[in-house]
Amino acid sequence: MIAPAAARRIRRLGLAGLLLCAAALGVAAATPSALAGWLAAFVFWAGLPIGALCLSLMMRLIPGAWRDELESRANAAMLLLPLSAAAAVPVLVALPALYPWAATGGGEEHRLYLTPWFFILRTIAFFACTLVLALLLTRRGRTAGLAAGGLILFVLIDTTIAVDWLMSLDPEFHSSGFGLYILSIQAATALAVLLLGRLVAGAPSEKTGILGGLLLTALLLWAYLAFMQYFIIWSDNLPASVAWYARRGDGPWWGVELAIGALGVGPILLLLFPPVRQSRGWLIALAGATLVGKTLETAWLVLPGSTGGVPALAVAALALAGLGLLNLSGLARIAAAPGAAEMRRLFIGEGRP
Amino acid sequence: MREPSPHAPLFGLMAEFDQPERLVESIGRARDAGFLRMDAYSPFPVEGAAEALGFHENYVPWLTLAGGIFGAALGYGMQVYTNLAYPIDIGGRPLLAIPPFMLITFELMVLFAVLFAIVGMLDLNHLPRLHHPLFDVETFHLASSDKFFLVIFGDDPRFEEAETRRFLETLAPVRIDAVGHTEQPE
Repeated sequence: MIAPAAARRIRRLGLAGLLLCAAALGVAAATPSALAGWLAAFVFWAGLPIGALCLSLMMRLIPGAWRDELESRANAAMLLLPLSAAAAVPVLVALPALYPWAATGGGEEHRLYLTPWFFILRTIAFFACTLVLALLLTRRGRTAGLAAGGLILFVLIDTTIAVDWLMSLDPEFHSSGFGLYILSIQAATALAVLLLGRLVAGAPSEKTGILGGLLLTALLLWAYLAFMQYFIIWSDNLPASVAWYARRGDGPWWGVELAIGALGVGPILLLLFPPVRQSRGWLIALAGATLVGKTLETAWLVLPGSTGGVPALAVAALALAGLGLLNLSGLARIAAAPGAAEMRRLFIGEGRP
Repeated sequence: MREPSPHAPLFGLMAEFDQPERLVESIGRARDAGFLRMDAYSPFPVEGAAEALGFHENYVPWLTLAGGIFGAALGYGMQVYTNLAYPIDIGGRPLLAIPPFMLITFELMVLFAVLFAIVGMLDLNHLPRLHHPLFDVETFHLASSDKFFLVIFGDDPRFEEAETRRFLETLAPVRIDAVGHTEQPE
């Protein structure tokens, strides 16, 4: 069981997280348009359990050293889903403050799909499906059939919900690769967190190179999907989609765009070299850089389109820190539970023996 | 490891083993005895053999990187050149349009990285070649089925035919063969 001092520290972490989140929501309550900052923080941190669920499903189908190194942590991180579902509540409550189609009723073609009740229903269904999947995986262990079916379902619902949460911020913006692009951000986020957890705990002897290879793969996938979407929109040259990128390359966001690119491409180039890939220190630094890059990227996806301005940035900073602390204390609590039996008691109650 | 040139009196002495562990152990003992120039042959990759031989060449990854950089530069440069030499206005897009240039740049980067790796690997192995001195040893074809061979090259500073043969005998191999140089052009 967990030492009392450590338990106190975890509780304090959680409490600090709650206070920061309350402050963020307080600011957002005063200036509703600042809630965009909360949306950015929510989407970023939801990427951790969602990406972990994706990785956990894949680990059940693709055996190898990565499974031995990361499986327990991925299984713990995907159980943070209820926390993300709770973080979605402020977004669902204040839809008109965030989404133009919710405020104005949307255009003719959006009348059925982009309506508040249907949007809320989809988000609830998404969290219900992913949570059921995570709990089934926790109970059943390594079942290839469940993992294969689950992975297909997961990709479908995750790319759908990415369109809801992020793409519908600008109802005129269309990109068919958007869902997969967001999925690559989620997977990279989750992998970076899992790697940090694994590497801070100690160097995994000869397998560090494999972990470095995983980070490289995730970043390459991200680079491919991010560039392809940009390239296709660049080639089409259609006003609505170009405007979406133009807003995100305007003023200070241009600097953010450069930072996102550098924090993605820099680690890719460095990870090409085996000494970097096999070094614990380098990997910790690069996983950290990946997390910073993905945080900026989520903010870059949400904030430039909003009217939130500086309050939205403040809310984003507060909420990112607050939700981060909550997730950290949640992870520590799950990790402290020794073995699957304890995990079951924590998250499912006294299930089957 | 570079094999001896025909100037050495003998290509080398080859010991045959029937266990992979015996091969790795023998490499270690040969190196302990002060032999530096040797090579090993086995039907499958034997764990620990490369380390025991002290093999740590990494030319091929560097060649791959060089090929990648060369290919990317070539691909990009080719597009810059053709667009400047034959300027065509396509829907008002800039003459040097970086996003679409990336596709060809990427393709040529991959192509040349792979070509450099494969051609470099073949060249470093002196392949293709028609004959090899070891093929004169009657049982050497078993290196493709179930035997493991250790060769001490004739240009090793410690190589002295009779003495080296005596040393190899202490390793208790299945048999020992002297390997001469081939007379035919290789």
